Amino acid sequence: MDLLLLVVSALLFPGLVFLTSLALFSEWVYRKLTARMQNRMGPSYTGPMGVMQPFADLIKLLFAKEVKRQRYAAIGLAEIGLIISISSIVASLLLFPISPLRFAAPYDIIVLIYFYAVWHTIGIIIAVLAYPNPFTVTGLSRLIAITVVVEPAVFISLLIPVLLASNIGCAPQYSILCTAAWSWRLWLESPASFIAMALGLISVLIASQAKLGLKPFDIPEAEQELIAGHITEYSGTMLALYNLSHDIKLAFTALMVVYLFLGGPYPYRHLSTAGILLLIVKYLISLMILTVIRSSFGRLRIDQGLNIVAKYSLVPSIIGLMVSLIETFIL
Amino acid sequence: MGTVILDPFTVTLALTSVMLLLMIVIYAIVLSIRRARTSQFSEEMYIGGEGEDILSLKVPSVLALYWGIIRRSWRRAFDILRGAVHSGVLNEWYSYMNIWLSLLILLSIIAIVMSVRIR
Repeated sequence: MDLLLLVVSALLFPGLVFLTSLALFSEWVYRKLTARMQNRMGPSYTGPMGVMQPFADLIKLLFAKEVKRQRYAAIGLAEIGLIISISSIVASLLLFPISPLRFAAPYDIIVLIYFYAVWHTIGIIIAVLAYPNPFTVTGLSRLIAITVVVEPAVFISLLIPVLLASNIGCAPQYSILCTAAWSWRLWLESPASFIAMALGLISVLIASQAKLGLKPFDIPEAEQELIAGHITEYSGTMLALYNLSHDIKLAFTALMVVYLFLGGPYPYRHLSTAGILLLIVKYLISLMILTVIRSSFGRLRIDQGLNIVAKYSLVPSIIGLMVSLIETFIL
Repeated sequence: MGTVILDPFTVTLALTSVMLLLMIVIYAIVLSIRRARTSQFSEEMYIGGEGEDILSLKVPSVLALYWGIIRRSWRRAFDILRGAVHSGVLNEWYSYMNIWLSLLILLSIIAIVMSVRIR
């Protein structure tokens, strides 16, 4: 294994630098689109069409704003938690075909779950608990309640393309790399496969909306009730890291949907013009769906939110998984 | 450019080392920025606007809040289950237990068949 290539993949492309840029661009897209849907201008002045505004916000929080100490705060711990949540997502990008150095293994869907769900969530919980406050405690309890329903829905829906792709013979079995390369064929493979993929796509989009804390599932933050919920005490560098972590999760989730459900750039190659264009278009479409859902709904109450996720994400994903199991083992 | 095919355990170790590298780099950047910009100004303030003696009495624990939410959102499912089990008719209890055990047997058969097929 080329160590230099590994470091470049982790730090530059598709690692920290690229994913941060993509995350900030994605934030601009969803802020601009939401603003236009609500008849506002959105970011307009910094850079062409305001595209540099999220970057300017990040720089302002990092360099101009102070970190306010709260009486019982453990700033170092909060930073470590947020850094864990960022780096776990960036590291799991090396399982996808977009990386110049790609890791693959049989059953590496488990590795993705380990980084994307376990480490990321642990990081966020460490960061939130480092700032004890009635509002953060309430926000965290809501966050955990949502996570308990959302994570099974996300991963049952991710299992659908992985299972179907391994069924049509891609190798290594049950790996992200082969699923990403073959997922476009699954839509055309058989009617059962199409139904399972459609249910998985719907389920993963709704679950991602809840996992990202976008409306109508921004219940842990709930401005009007909890000030800012689990991030009430964050300021300066800490808020910058939290926002970055959120945007990186948004960009990664959209990329994951593009590769595992919409087929990435395939059947074209990554380095061909058609492949790059297809990848960008699919990425923007998945980002647009998340934004449109966000702009179209008001916030739900916590029990309504949990019921909606269970009804429209968990149940479709279970049905989709059953259809794909029937397709794999019986048909 | 290349694909490295390993076993899942080694991939986990490799990605964990990548994660550690990223953590060190980000922490170094954050530490260099943050050190000069920490304000002690509001250290004594508590954002709830109440004294600590009041806040410590009024705030329920994370665990209590969590179970409160779960109880509220799953009450309907619980009511249905309780209605099925606690009807007072012994035959209904038998049929409920039969359905439940059949489901478990079905799941175990599916698991066995799947494991045989995967092998």
